[in-house]
Amino acid sequence: MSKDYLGSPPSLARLAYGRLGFGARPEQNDFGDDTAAFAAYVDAQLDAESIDDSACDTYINQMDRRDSKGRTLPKLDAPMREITLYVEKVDKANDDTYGPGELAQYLSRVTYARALFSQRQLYEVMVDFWTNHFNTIADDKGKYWEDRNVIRPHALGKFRDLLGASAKSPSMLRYLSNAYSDGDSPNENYGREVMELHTLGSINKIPGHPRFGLPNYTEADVHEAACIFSGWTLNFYDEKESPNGDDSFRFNDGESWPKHDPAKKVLQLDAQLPVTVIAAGGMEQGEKLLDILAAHPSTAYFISWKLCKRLISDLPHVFCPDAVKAGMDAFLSSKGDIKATVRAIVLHPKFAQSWGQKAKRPLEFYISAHRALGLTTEAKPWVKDNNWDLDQLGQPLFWWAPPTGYPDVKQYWWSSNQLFNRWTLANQLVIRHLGEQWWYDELEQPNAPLDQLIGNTGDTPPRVQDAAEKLMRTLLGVWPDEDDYKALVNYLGDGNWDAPITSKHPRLRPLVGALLASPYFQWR
Amino acid sequence: MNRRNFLKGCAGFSALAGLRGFGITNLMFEPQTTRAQTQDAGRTTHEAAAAHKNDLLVYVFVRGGMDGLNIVTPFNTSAADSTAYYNKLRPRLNIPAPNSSATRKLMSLDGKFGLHPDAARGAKGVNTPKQNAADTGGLYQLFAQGDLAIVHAAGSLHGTGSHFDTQLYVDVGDNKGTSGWVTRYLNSMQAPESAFVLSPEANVPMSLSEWYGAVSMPDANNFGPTWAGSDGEFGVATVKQQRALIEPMFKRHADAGFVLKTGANALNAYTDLHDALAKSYTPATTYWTENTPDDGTFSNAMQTIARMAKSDLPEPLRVACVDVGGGWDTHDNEGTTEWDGNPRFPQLVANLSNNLKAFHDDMSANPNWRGRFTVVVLSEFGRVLYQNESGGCDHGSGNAMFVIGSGGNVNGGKVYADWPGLATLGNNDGLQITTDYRRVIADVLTARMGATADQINKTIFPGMNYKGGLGIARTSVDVKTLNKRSYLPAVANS
Repeated sequence: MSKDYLGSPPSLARLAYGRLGFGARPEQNDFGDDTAAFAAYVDAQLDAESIDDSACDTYINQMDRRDSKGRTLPKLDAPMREITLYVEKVDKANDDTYGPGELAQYLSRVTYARALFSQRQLYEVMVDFWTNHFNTIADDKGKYWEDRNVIRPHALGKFRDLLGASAKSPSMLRYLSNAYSDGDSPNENYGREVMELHTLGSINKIPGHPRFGLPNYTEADVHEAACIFSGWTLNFYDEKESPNGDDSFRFNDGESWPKHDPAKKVLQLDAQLPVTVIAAGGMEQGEKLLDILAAHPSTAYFISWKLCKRLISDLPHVFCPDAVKAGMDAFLSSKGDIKATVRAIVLHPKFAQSWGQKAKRPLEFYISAHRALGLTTEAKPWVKDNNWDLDQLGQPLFWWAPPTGYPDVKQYWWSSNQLFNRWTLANQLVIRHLGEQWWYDELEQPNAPLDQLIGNTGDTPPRVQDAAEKLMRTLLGVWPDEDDYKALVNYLGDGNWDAPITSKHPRLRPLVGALLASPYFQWR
Repeated sequence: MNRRNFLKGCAGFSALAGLRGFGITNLMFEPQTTRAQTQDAGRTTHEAAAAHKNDLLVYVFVRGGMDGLNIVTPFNTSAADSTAYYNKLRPRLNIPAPNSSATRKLMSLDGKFGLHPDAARGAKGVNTPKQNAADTGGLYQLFAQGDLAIVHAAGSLHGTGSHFDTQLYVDVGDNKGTSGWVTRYLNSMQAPESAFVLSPEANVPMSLSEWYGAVSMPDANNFGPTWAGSDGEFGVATVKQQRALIEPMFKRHADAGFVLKTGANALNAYTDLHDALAKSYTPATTYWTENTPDDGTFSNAMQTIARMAKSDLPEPLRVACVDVGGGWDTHDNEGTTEWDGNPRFPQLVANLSNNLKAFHDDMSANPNWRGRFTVVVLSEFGRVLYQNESGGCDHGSGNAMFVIGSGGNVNGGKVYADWPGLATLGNNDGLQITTDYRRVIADVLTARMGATADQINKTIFPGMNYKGGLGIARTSVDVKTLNKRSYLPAVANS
C-alpha cells in the first residue's frame, strides 16, 4: 500500500478545523481526539445562526464597496433592479469596465473575508459546496443576487428550498439557458442538468438497489423536463423595450416568447411503473417535478455521496460507503434537511479515520495558509483582490464555466504547476503579511505577527528549536518525520538549535514559506 | 477555464503578470541545435533515442460539444441531405453552400463536404473579416496540402447526452477503469515517469489520469517557484534553500502515492525545464491571439507545446494533452458566419483552426520536427441535427475529428466518412456514429506512436477489436518529399 502523506496524523480537532472549516487558526482550541468535544463542536457549528459573528461582520462592513472606477456598488442585499441599473450604468460609462466583473470582484472579497474570519466555518464550507453544486458563472450579474438570496439562506436549510430557489435564480436561468426556452421547441440545458447535476445523478449508484448501474432518467425525460420548465424566464430589462424590467424571475403564462408548454407531461424516470404523470398546467408543473426530484432516493444518495466527497474522501463509495449510506438515510428521513445529513456524515466513525483522504484544493490551500498565519480583523486590510492569486492556481471564486462546479478530487488539482505556484504564493503571503525581506542580513524592524508565531512574546526570546517546533505545530498540525524535523531546525539555526531567535532573523520567513509549500501542508 | 479575463473592469492583470519571470526580450530567432547535441552523457540518452522513433502526439480535446456539422458540413452528400434535411432542420443556423450567393460560405473540400469559412481564413477566395497575420488558410490549407485528414460521423458509442459522462468515457478510452487512455499508451511504451509529457494548462486532463509525471505549464513565462517574483540573487538563493528542505520530503517514500510522486517528478524535471525556458524564444509563425473566445488560452497552449518541443531538452516531448474551451456548448445564440452581431461561432472556429494551422507551421519550420508530430482533435459529441428555439443546438452525437500531421505522416486531403446521411436521427437526435473515435486514435498510435494492435486491444483500449483501421496515418515518411515541401505560410489573402 503506497503512502501519500508524511508524519503522524493530526488530532481530531485539527482534522475538523480543516474539513469543516478553512483550516486552523493559531488561537483555536486543539481539543485533541476527544470525541465528545468533537461532537459538541459539530453541533455548535451546525447551529450557525447562534454563533456570534460580529467581528467578521464589522470587518466586512468596513470594506471598501466601490468598483475599480470608484463607483459605489449595490449592497449585497440589493434587489435585482438596483443591480441591473448598476450594470447599465457601467455599460454606459464605456470606460473599459465590466459590471458583472466588478460585482463578482467585490463578492469574492467578501467571501474570502468570511472564509478567513467568520466563526461560522462550517456554514462557509457549505456555502462554497452549494455554490459549486448549483454552479453559475460570475459573468452574469445575477450571481451577486444569487449568493445572498439563493445559496446563503438555505446552505444549512432544506434541500428542496435550495433547489427551488436555484430554479428561479436569474443567474441560473440565464446560465443554463432556461430563460430563453420556449415551449414549442424547448432548450434542454436546464432540464438535463437539474436531473444530472443538481438532483438524481445520471446513473443509479445506490448499492444493492434493483436499478443499480442503470440510468436515472431517459433522454425523453430530459425533453419532458425542458417542456415543464419552459416559461420559467425573466422579467427582462431593456433600456428601450422594457425599462421597468429588472431581470428577476417571472413565470410566463402568456403566449409571448418564451412561453410555457402547459400540456400533460409523462416521465419515465428510472423505469418506474407506473410512469410519473404531471397533469396539464402552468408553473405548478415545475414545482411538482422539483418535489419528485428532491424526494427521490437517488438524489439522497447523490447529495450524501457528494458531501462525503467534500468532507471525508475523494472516493467515498470506496472509503466510506457506510457514511454515504448514513447521510442518505438521514436525508430521506429528515425530508432533505441539510443539517441532519451533514451531521450524520461527519459523526460517522469513518470521518475521524480519514486523514490522507483529502488534499487541499487551491481555495483551501490559500485560505488555510492565511488562517495559519493568524491574521486578525484588527490589523491592515488583509482581504484585497484575492481572486488574482487564486487565478494563478486555477480556482478563482465564481469563474468555473461548466455547470459541474470546481472538481473536488486531488487528481484534478495536484500537478507540477500547482506545486510551483503554491510555493511562489506561499512566499508572497509571507512577504505580504510577515514583513518584506530582500537580503540575507538580519532585519532592522521586528514583525509582531511573526514574533507571535514563534512564541517570542515574553521577556526572553525562544530558542531556535522551540521556535521551529512552534511553527511546525501551528502551521502544519502534523508532527513531521524525524529527518524533516532535523533538517528544518538545522536550517533555521544554521546548525545551532539553542541560539535565541526573534522575528528579525533572516531565515524565518523562508522557513515559513517552505513549510506552507511542503507536502505536509497540502492535506486537510 | 483558467486565465479567464474575469476582471475586464480592472486594469492591471497583464501588468501583474509582466512583473515576473523570464520575459521574451530577444526577438531574434535562435537557430535550434539538434537534440542529440545537448544530451548529457549521464542522462537518459537511451530513452531519448527510443522516444525519438515516435512522433510527438498532441491530443486536443474540444470541451463542450463542438458543432462539427457546421464546421465540416455535408452540402452535397446527397440531394436529400442538403435540401430536405440540413437546410430545413437548421433554417437559421446553416452555413451556406459553396455555390450560394452568400458572401461567407462553405469552402468545398471534396465536392461533398465543405469547411466553415473561418476554418479557411486567408485562403484564396475566402471572405475573411478581421484579417490578421494568422490567417494563412487554416484547416482548409492543411487539407489542401495533404496534412489534414478529416473523419466524420465519429464519436464514442458509449456516449450519453451528458458532457461530463461522455468526456470521461473518452478520456479513459471507453474503459471501466479510471486511468486515462494516454496513461495506458505511455505504460504500453514502458515510458518512465521522467518521460516528457506536457499539459500546457493549469491542470492535467483526465486522459492522463494516473500518470504522475506530467508537467503542467499554463504560462511558460512564469514557470517554477520564486521568492517574490524576482530572480534577484537573494530570491534565487532562498528558493534553492527551500528546495533543499522540500525535495527530500517529496522523495521520502519509494512507494509513494499520487501527491508525493507527482511532486517528486515535478522537482526532478524542474531544473532542465527552467534552464530551457531561460533561453529567449520566438515562434516561427503567428498564432491567433486576438478575438479569441477563451482569452487566448488555446493559442498560448499550442505555443507552449511548440516551444517545449523545440527546447532541446534531454527528454524530447512525447505527448501533450490540450483542452479547448471558450463556449462550444452552443445551446443558444450559436451564430453562423457573421462577425458583426453574434460572432460566437466564427470566433470559436477561427481560434481552433488558425491556432492549429500556426502550430503546424511552427513545428514544420523546424527540421527536427517536420514529419514527426501528429495532432488529433476531437470533442465529446456533436450537436442535434436541428436547431432549437433559442438559436442553438442541444447535445447530439456523431461529430467531425481532425488528424493533422506534416511531411506525409498523415494520409490527408481526404474526408473519411462512412456517411450515415441526415435522414435518420442518431442518438440524442444527433448525427449517427459510424466510426468509433478510438479507431482513429488507434490508427495514429500504431502507425506513428509505436503501439501494436495487440497493445491497443489489451491495454490502451481494452476490449476493442482493432485490426488495422482507416489508414489515416502512414508508417513511414518519404524524406525526399518531406524536404521538398515548403511549410512556411504561403497562402496569400485574396
